This record gives sequence, structure tokens and C-alpha cells, in this order.
Amino acid sequence: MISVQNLSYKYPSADIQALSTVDFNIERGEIFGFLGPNGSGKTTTQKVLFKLLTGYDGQAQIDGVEARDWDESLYQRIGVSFELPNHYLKLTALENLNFFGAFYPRQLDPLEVLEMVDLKEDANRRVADFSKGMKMRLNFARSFLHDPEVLFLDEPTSGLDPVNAKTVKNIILELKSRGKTIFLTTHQMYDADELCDRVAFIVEGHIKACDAPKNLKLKYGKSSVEVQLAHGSGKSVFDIQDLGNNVEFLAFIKSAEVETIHSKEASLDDIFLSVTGKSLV
Amino acid sequence: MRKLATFSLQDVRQIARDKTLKFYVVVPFLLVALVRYLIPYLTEIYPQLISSYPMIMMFTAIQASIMFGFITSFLLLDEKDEGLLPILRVLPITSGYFIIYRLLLGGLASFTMALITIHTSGIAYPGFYKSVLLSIQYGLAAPLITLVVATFAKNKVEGMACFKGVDLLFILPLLSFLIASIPKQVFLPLPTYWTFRLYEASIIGEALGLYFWIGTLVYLVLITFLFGQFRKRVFDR
Repeated sequence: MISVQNLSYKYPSADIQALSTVDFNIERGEIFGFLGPNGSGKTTTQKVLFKLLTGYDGQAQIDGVEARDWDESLYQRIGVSFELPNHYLKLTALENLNFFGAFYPRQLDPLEVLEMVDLKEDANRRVADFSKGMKMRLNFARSFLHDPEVLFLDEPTSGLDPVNAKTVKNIILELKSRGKTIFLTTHQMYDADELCDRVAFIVEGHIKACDAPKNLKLKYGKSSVEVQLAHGSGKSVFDIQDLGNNVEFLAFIKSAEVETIHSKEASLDDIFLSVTGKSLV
Repeated sequence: MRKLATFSLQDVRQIARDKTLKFYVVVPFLLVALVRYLIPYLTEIYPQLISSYPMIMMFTAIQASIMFGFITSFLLLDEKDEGLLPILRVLPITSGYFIIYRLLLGGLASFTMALITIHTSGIAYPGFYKSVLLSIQYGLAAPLITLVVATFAKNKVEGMACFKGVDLLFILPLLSFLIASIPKQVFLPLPTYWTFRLYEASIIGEALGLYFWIGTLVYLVLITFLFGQFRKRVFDR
């Protein structure tokens, strides 16, 4: 559905490349996550794909057509949720959705969409009176109002409390189950792990790794067991591989009463740090 | 047509919910009422005022008509402040549709307001045909002021200052009618100079062609240049 090969982009006023020879593909019906710290090129890549940035090198295709060659019909097929809230503040949530929905040949019922993001009761309130989290949910609601095939979601859970973040993530999974292709950016590793079929780590405009979260953990992570002995007798970490035959482990747990024993899997955060040498926060 | 109606309804709502913009919609009508009812009264006291009627109308018509340029520029500044321009760019409409709509909205409103002003003020009326020609140029002042404010002002405070500055520039050519020693050539690059000359010519019965065509050309050249600047500096960034 989306194919990016050797994509490079440099902002006219910048000295360095924002993107350098970026390669990835997103299959139809897949949730693909771009993970990286601020300024790593996540949003720039999305902006190239939906034509807000055009002077790029390489290939950036949606459904086999180069992004720069699409006419305005592209925007009937894609939905975009920006990183920051952008609404007509003097209008109500419902008026905002009705306004944007009027530009598409078909749209979902705006009230149903508001209900999905838990804003139905606030449908007739002016957006100026909304909290940041409410505005972000309205951003997200607007992105799928016209039932697009492809969704570009830039930090979709940013500024949301855990309950609303969960609501948004459930809708993303539901959209996937209806065959939508979703390209999201985030620096929330937990969200990426929970939602994405595949993720790419991007740092300073370069993709450092790209695979399913599970595969990345298998490839770069190391599972271990942490044992805490009672009465302050000690704590130690052992590799989970062949644990039953690990003489040191067996001796350690026999040396005193075991207080806790936990298996520890490498998180995407750990993998990101080990692959890129950079922290996400 | 449906899209145009959608944008228009949106703008009406925006204006109706903004105290400043609502005030500026009323201002042109207050100006017209002031000229219609106050000037005849003042003329009774100062009969020599009659000779200044064309100048009073040149000033009133430009002030009344550019208010709509101010309103559309503030709608654009609002959209700029609220980060709406990128989302407007990912709507399934031709690139530039939205800006052209906004400029046409301001232009049409200003054209209509100028026509109303010239017709209803009750002084220095040049006749219907000439007032239409005049209103075309007054109407072009609105997109010009919209583009200047929306391109160069970062926020509404700067927008207000910018508007006042351009307004001053627009009325500056009136000096050439007030003070004979000021060479008229100084004001040639200012589009309103041609509009004021057109007004003068239409009252004294001179040929209008030169002032109409050159004036319209000056407006269009400036609008085209500023349209490009707005796209480059604001809309397409």
C-alpha cells in the first residue's frame, strides 16, 4: 500500500538532511509504527507521503503512485491526524466535524464518531472550552470521519490519560480489523508494542531497524530472571536460556529463602536503546 | 458549489462568534450613515465643504470597503494561529481553492460595500456605470490588504498594526488632492492613487479608461505577487 525507497529530504532552511535514504513498505491492512525521539524524521516522512512536503529525492508511493503525482483525490483515500490539535475553536465539536466532513463524498455519522472517542456529550460545546486531551481525540475522530483506506496518525495518544489512550488504541485496532492501513508515529514504546504489526526505529533521519516488535525482541533482546533472596541475602540476575542447568542459579536459590523471582523480557525501549544508542525520551 | 457554501457558512459562524469581527462588519454601515446624515448638516454650517465632497467619498469608500479585507485577513490569522492551514491542505480540494475563495469573499464583500457606499451616501454620486467601475477597484483593495496582513503578521496584535499601516498607505494619495505642491508621481505605485484619480475623473467628467485600466493592473500585479508570497511564507510551509 505504501512503498518508500531511498527517500531523502532536506528542509530548505536546514543544513542537514531530515531524512536519508529511508526504506520501508507498509502492507494493506497493516499497522506500521515509526518510533523515534523528537526531530528524528517521523513527521517529515508522513508529510512527504501526504504531499505537505514535495521536494524530496527517492521514491514515496501510495498505492503504486508517487506521492507528488497524486492529485487532490489522494485526500479522499487517506486520513490525517496531526501531532498538535488544530480545530476551529469558536465552533463546536460537531460543527467542526460537519465542516470537514462536507468536503468528502461520503462520511460516517459525526455523532457516532464523537461517541466512539467519548465526546458525544460534548458535541455541542465550543472546542475553545476543550482540554488538550479532548482536542486530541477530536483530531483523531476527524481523521477517520470520511472512512479513509489509509490513516496517518502522528502521536495519536499524545496528551491523553490512560483511559482515553486505551479508547483510541481500541479504535485503531478496530480500524485495522476493517482492513484499514495505519501508519503511526510515536515515542510511546508501550503503545507501539501493543498496536503495531511492524515498527521501524528512526534516528536522525535514518532507519536503524525495522521488524515486528516480537522479532526485534528476539533478535536484540535478552530474557533474564531476577531472583531476590529474603532477609537482604542478595539479588542476582540470570540468563533465562537453559536455566534448569545453570549451576550458579541453582546454587543461588538454594543459598537462602527466595523472596521474589521475576522473569524479565527486554522492552522495546531497551531494544531501541541497544540498537540506536539513543533514548526515546 | 457545495464546498463554497460550506466555507461561507463556516465564515459566517466564525464572524458571528467574534466580537471584534462583528464590530468591523458594522463599521462600514456606520461610516455610510455618518456621511449621509452628518455631511449635509455640516454643509449647512460650512457651505465650502461641497468642494470636498469627492474627497470625502474617496476616503469613506476606501475605509468602508477595506473593512472586509480586514475581516478576511483576521479569519486567516485565526486559522494560522490555530494550526488549521495544514489540515486545510489535506482536504480533497484543489491547492489554492481555499485561499482564492477567501480572497474572492473579501473582494466581493468590499465591491458590494463600495457600491452601497457610493450609492447611499448621497454626495458625489458619479452615476451607476461609473460607480461600478469604482467599486471594482475598491473591491480589489480587500484581497490586497488580506494578503499583506495574513502574510506578514505573526499574530492578531501584529495583524492590527499591519492593517493600520496599510490603511495609512492607502489613504496617503489623498494628500495629492489636498496639497497642490506635492507631486502626484510620488503616489503612482500606490493602487489607491489610481482609484482616487478614477473617482475624481468620474465626477469632473474626464475619460476613465486610463485610470481604470492602469489602476486595476496595479492592484492585480500586487495581488499576484502577494498571493505567491502568502503561499510561500505561510500556506505551503
